Amino acid sequence: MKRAGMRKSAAPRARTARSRTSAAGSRVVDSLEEIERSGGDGTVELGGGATLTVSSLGKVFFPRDGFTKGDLMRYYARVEDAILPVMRDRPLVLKRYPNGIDGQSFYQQNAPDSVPAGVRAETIRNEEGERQRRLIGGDLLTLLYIVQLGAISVDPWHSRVAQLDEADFTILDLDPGPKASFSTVVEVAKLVKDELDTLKLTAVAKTSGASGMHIVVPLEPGLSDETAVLAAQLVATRVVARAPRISTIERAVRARPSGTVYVDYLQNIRGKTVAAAYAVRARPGATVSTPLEWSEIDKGLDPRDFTIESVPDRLRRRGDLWARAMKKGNSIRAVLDARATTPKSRR
Amino acid sequence: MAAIWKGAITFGLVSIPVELRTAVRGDRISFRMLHAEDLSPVKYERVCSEDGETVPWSEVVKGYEYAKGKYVVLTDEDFERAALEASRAIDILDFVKQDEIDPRYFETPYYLVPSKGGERPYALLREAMRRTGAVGIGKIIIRQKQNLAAVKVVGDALVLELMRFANELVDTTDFSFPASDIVKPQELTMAEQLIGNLAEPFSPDKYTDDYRANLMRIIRAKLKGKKADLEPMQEAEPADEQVIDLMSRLRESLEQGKKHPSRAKRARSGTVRAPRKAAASRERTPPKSRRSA
Repeated sequence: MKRAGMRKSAAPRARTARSRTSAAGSRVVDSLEEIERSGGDGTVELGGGATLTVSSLGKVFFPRDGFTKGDLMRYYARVEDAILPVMRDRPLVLKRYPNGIDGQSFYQQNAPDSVPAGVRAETIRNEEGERQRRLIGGDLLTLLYIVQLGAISVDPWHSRVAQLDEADFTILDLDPGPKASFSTVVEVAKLVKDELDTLKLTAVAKTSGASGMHIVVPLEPGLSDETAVLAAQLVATRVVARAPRISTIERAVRARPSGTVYVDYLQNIRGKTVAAAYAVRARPGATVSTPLEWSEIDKGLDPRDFTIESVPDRLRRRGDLWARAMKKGNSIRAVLDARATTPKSRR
Repeated sequence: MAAIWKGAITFGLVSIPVELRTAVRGDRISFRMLHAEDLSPVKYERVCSEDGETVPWSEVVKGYEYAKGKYVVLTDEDFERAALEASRAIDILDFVKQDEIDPRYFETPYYLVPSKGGERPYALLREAMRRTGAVGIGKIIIRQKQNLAAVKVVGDALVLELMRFANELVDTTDFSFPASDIVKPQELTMAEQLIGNLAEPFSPDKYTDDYRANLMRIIRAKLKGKKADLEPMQEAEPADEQVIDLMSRLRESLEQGKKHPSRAKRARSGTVRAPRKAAASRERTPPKSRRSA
């Protein structure tokens, strides 16, 4: 894929986008630009006296496109109103790329031993009762600090610190096999939507930012991650039963039929995570996991269209599709009751 | 099918005349490469990378690249000197137990068919191996190349399986695999349940090469002048049993969740969760083992 207008310097385009950003975010964008002009090291003003020391903002994270660490921080500042609620109160899993997306990377679960003032890190207990210190999402300072660490991909937990054993949503992760095209992903996503409609479940779909899609079903409070897994498994099983040629729930990669999309319901097991809505992925093009309207999921949908350059503008035009979809959680009991009263009503 | 090799299985003083027949069918669909304009087959030509001229076979030699772009040329004579004496025997060196052999060592199976007059000793060896559960390990030279081989009993047949030498296997220590102590007991229980759900006796007939089937459908349709319709959506009701089973497990998981009073109340009311600040004072719920047990 050739991209027109590859750029070496971030500054010109940054200006045009600034008018579409929240006042606070825009101040941070200004502050970041200032630092970049004066060599790339400095202190970002986050308003209310909060500051964060950043360095090497000119470091190229996306070599093909020329996007830098500064570009990544500016993107998050621009979309803070949308992305911060997605991560709020959730432990974050970082994938760090200290030398950009083509260099080595590693996952980081634990928070560094000491973090700058204003960065939210909390000690949680995992299932074995071990204490672990984690970075918790929800504020721009923490997010920018994460980028400062060289983390490009940020995945939030499906549960929040106050109730780590309750899942807030369940995810169907559509993961195309090496021989499945994105148009097959689109087809499978439509089938998932169809089954969700039958089960009267609401959901939002987003590009994964890589080659697949995530379909996220918000859950009412008080449901366990076990229920989350089973609910997703139910939908996945129905989809695969209808379209075994293009979809599979086969876990062994090698046993998946060629050309199928893996409908993965196991990303809901506790501790598993997928990329947050509006999060940047460590992929060429600096693609963003972007919530979509169902009507957009059709021929011609190209996940590469959603990047750190295009998403702030899209948010302005389309609104926050994620927040809208997450407002009300689905009742799983209602699914069971509906099925009990009208068996096979679809036929 | 013609014999690939003729000789004898030997061990101790016994010698059983056998032939080697292929046990694997190449099932790939093959294609000819054609010139798009007139559909005449295209052919490969050996071309000198230096001047682009065609090189006749008589001017082709084999070279070993010992450094980038540097070659040692080996002549036919060199290859002959390296070749092993063309022994016509499968020398069984040891008998081992079948399950002692890591399956990664097995490469290609062949049937050992008794040659004329070999039937009785063949059956004798087979039955003795069957009773003792033994697999013979030996060496066989096929087309001048020495191979490690296993001889085992499959039904009424003796099967010779060409094996890899130990140095051909990539060692697991070349990679890093996660240790088992990072697995959480609850997740393991869950994963084991999932495995249990899918446990089936192995029936190889069940798994088909869908790519091949698709290609054949396209070819047949093209012969008839039609465009193949490859993805008829199966509009049948989803695998009912599985769905019903999942529904009942889902119900169970909800019931179990209900034992927790505050959770049950919130679940029933069906309202959106209270803001985090209000919830933060609530005690963390006990570990989940209670539910997944």
